[in-house]
Amino acid sequence: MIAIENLTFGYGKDTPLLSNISAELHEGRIYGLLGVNGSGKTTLLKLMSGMLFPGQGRITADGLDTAARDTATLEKIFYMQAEFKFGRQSMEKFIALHRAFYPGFSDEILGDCLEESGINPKTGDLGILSTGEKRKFLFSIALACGAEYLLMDEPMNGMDIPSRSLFRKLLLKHLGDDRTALISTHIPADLENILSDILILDGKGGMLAKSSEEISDSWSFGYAGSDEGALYSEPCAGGYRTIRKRRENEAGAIDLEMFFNAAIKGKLL
Amino acid sequence: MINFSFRRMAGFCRLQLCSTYFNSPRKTVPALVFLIVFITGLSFLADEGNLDGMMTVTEDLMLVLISFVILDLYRDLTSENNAINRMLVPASPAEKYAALYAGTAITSAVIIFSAAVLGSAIYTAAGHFLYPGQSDSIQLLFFRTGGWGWNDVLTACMLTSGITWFVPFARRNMGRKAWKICAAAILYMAVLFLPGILKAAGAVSAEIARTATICILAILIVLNVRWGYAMLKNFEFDRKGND
Repeated sequence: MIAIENLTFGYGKDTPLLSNISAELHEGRIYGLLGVNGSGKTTLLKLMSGMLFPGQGRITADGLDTAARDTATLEKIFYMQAEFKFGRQSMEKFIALHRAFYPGFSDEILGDCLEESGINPKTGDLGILSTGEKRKFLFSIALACGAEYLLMDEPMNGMDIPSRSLFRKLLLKHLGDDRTALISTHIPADLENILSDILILDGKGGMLAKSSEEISDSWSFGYAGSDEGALYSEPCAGGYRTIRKRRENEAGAIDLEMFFNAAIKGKLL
Repeated sequence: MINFSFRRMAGFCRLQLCSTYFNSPRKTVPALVFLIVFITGLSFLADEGNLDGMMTVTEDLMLVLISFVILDLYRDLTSENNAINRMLVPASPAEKYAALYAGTAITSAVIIFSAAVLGSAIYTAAGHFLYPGQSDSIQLLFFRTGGWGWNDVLTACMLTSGITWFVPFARRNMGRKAWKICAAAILYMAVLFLPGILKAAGAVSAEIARTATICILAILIVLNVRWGYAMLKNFEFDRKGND
């Protein structure tokens, strides 16, 4: 479990970007990290991976402080950055140089991911891959390395529509019950139907953490001719998209985008 | 307790070197040849008609090149751009720190031996054609009489280890705290050159100044290594901007 305990962090002496937030990330779950630009999504991921140190509070992975960057902690966490470079290196060499550091590295998972992604494992120069292909390759490494916690910062940027579907498919296929994924995105629709939990950074330092079950149990999402009685609504063709308090025996899919918009405007409190 | 595995350290050193200098020998070898020829050629600018003097200049310039190696490996270690961030590769800070020195030592050995062969060939040719009579035999750079001694090796160690703490220290204090960088540099140099200053003032003899300088160098190397390790352990990525 990754535990975020009373975390406060800020750049410089201004108002903290993240203020006294706490959360727990449990095994076998997929977390979506949402937030407006500059709300601290990347910062939170960097703090969790050990690239940044908390101003106050702490973050632990299975009880180990991530800021210490010990071998045992680093073996548990794989952080896929939003921006990265491969350099001019063959795929085989890249894998050979890194795999020794991950005791749980799986050739089967890597082979499956590369095959499904249509990436040639004999690629001679990673630098010539397209942005989407680079991301698919690094995502394959993330799944294959055996790290228990996968932290991914906008991993689907630059991927085409079939690749986004494939991303979801491979994630569900290879994540397993003992591993956790935290994925930040600006496009909630990319992750709809695969998230078990949602973390929303409100841009004012706070964070809302809800499981999909909690959201389904508390709110209902739908369309209506009027927005009367709705906690939150957005006009659409022919009426309104609404969020209301859920009534008994009422079921329906979660509209992640609506939920996010309502959350950052403080309409769900 | 420091978590250290020689195997992981060697693996990390291999990762860094194979991703940087030894990634493409077809590019690295010509670049190395060019640098050696360039540095040797540069030494000819200090031409005072004395081959020995020029060779000393070449050896000193090679020392600068070696300092750039550790600087470059440190930059690679702390770069945010690598697909798998080096600082997040599962190896302890101690292993990464040792790998930095091991990588520098290996690359330096390649540079020194290449320069010894190629540079010496240039000097032998120059001695034959430009300075006849000055060099009757082949003199290997670094290994010649009057080449690198223990003080030069200590100086190389002091420079390379100094970079591991001075670079992150300067990075951390860039901007409004720039005075700290200047103060640290001045203080450091004052300590280093204190025996020389005392000798110039006639307070101590040349022998005492030399011994004291070697002792100060050794102490500074130990301190550099300790400070560098502490800096690496506490290294944080850019805290200045929220992306």
